[in-house]
Amino acid sequence: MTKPSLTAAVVIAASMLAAGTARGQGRLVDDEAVLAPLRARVAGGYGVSWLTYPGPGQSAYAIGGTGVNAEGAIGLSRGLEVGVRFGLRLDDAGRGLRADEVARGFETATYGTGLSTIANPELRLRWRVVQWRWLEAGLDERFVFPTSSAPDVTQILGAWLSTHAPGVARADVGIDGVLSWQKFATGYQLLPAFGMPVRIWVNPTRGLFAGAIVTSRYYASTPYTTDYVQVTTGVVVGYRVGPCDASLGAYLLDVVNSGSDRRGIGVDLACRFGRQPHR
Amino acid sequence: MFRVNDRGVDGARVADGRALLSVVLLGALSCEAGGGPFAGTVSRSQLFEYHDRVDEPLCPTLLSLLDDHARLIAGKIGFNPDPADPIQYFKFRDDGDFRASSPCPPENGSCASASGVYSEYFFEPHELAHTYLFRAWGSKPTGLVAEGEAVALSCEPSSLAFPGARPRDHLKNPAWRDLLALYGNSTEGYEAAGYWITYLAGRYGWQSVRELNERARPGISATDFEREFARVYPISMDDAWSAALDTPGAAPCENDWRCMSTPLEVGTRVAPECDGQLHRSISVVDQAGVALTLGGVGTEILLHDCANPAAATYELTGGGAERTTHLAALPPGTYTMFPAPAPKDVQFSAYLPSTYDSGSCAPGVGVTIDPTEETHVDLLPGAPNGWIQIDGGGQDYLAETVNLTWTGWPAPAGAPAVCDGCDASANCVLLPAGQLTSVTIGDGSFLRLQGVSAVTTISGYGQLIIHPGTQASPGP
Repeated sequence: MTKPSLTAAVVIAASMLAAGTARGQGRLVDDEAVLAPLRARVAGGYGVSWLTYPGPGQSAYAIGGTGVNAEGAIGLSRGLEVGVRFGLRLDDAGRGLRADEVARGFETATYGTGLSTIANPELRLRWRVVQWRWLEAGLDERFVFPTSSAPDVTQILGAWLSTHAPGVARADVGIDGVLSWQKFATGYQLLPAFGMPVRIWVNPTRGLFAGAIVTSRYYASTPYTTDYVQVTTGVVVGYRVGPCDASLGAYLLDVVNSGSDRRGIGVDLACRFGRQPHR
Repeated sequence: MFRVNDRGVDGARVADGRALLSVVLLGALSCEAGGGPFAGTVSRSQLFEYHDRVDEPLCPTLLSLLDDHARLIAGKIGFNPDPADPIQYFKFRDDGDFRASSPCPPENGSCASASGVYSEYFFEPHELAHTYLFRAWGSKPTGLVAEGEAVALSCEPSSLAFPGARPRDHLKNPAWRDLLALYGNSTEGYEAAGYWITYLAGRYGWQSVRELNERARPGISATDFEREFARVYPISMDDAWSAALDTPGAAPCENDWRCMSTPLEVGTRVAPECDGQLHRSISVVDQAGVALTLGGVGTEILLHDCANPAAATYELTGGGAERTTHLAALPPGTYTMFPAPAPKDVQFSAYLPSTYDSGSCAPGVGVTIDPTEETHVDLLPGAPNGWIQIDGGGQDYLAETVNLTWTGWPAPAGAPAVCDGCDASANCVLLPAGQLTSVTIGDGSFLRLQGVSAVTTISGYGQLIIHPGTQASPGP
């Protein structure tokens, strides 16, 4: 077993252990958007991305790559949560296709974490400003750290809104403003971007959940890069067992004007443990 | 990553979406080209282990040419060939044998891996370049980079550019974003990639290409590629692509292997060397050109001055006869011969004297035409023409003009003519456009070309073609 696979296995095993010891949980659509104080969530995922392209004659070819994602978050105080994310690409095409992104469950938009074997790590802070039974809203701050092989600095400030139809559905909508300093041969260039993630969730049964995901992103041009729009669409189905959610997501990664020939599948296991939220 | 090695990006072939899905879910399917049992004779050079499926003596200099080729390319890309780990070359009997027995995709005539080359050809510089790059730089990048590198180092594939035209024009305006996963599906794409990498290597060095090679992983998107490109080069990818394809006379590749040549002496006949190249050159100083004879039907050589990459390339084609002689006008320069495809042999009969295409008609020493061969009188665009004395032995011929124009064209009055002398009473047979004309050519005859000029073409010539015989074939 390779090192990355071992890491993924350890994360998943730990999550399963937590699942076995925890009490039953509510429906996914009723989850609060921010973890309760001292409540933690750990998740691990495995993703496969592939690209199809024409070959000689009428033949079609595909190249696929794999990646894993590991993340954790903990509630710091009421309405405040901190989290970290790590990604690993397991092969060459996993780097080119950034296959760790489809392993991130439903939050696939990274705004760039480099193309190295190790994705640039991300630290995030989530703050809930308002909360009613049917609506939550707040701010997200995400910071992507530079690494020696991908020395870009990216920070994302987002506003988010989570609307609940208790027991039935939930809609998560956000607006992200992104500032990324890309290290080019001529020096650092500021690359602004803008994104809008939309996620709709339903719970047909207590354990079974499904979601539709659309994330649109616009990247501004620089003297060395053109502006472009990228849309990621996906469907996720999953099942909640105790404190753990096992989900499977299928994604279409469409870089507008560059083709809808990229796809991905991710499996993700996320478990929560620690102090229960007040319901 | 799942992969199959071949000319393009490593990839797994898929028949349809379901097959794709099953391949993806299998995860780590590996179809690396290499390793299987290969029945055949084995020869060894310092750097190569050559496996031939045909039990035949190898072309005498093939192994030393392979070694020389490896060393030449190695010097550019920082490859340190290891005699203890020889490059494997698997030569298949023919296309059928290759398709049946090679580990390559069946559409390809050759493929490469880090261990070596699989080919139906004795010497495959494009795939050799892939293997050198694999060994020097590790894994293969996305198709545009991988194929651009191989084309830049091998000049295969390459085609003639219209003199003075931008490469983009004859390559059908390729867009790099559409070629990122280049894989055996676009000859123009391969050539464009070759121009681009040649430009980058020439301006920024092969070390910069190596860095791009490392960054441009298979599957990369166009937007990520733009960023990775900008991390290596101080210009944008769009600007680099434009600089490579919008510069008239841009070099399509690094031609130094094919340009390695020795002078061909008058009166000698040479066959292609073991790598399929001629490696011969002819210098024109104050002569009007050369008389070269190509052996074989449907063959071709290109004459190009390697010291002047932007100069025109002149195309000499083998016609329908077993041997074709070209009376090729050439400006001063040293011309290396590139076979495309290789003739059986090339004979350098003579230099054309400076008085060959004379402004006045004056009897002297003519150029003798062989009545059993096809003869092409190759005229340079922009050069004035006059009278050319030819000795046809009193035989019957069929003559036609190709890419020639004249005063009053297409009216036949000003067309080229074959005259039996210079004086006013000489009989002249006009050679009108678009037809074969029967003509008897005696010794001391003249081609009258006053007012005739060659149209600028991709071949570099306008021609008057003289076929043996009298039976005109149906016209076009």
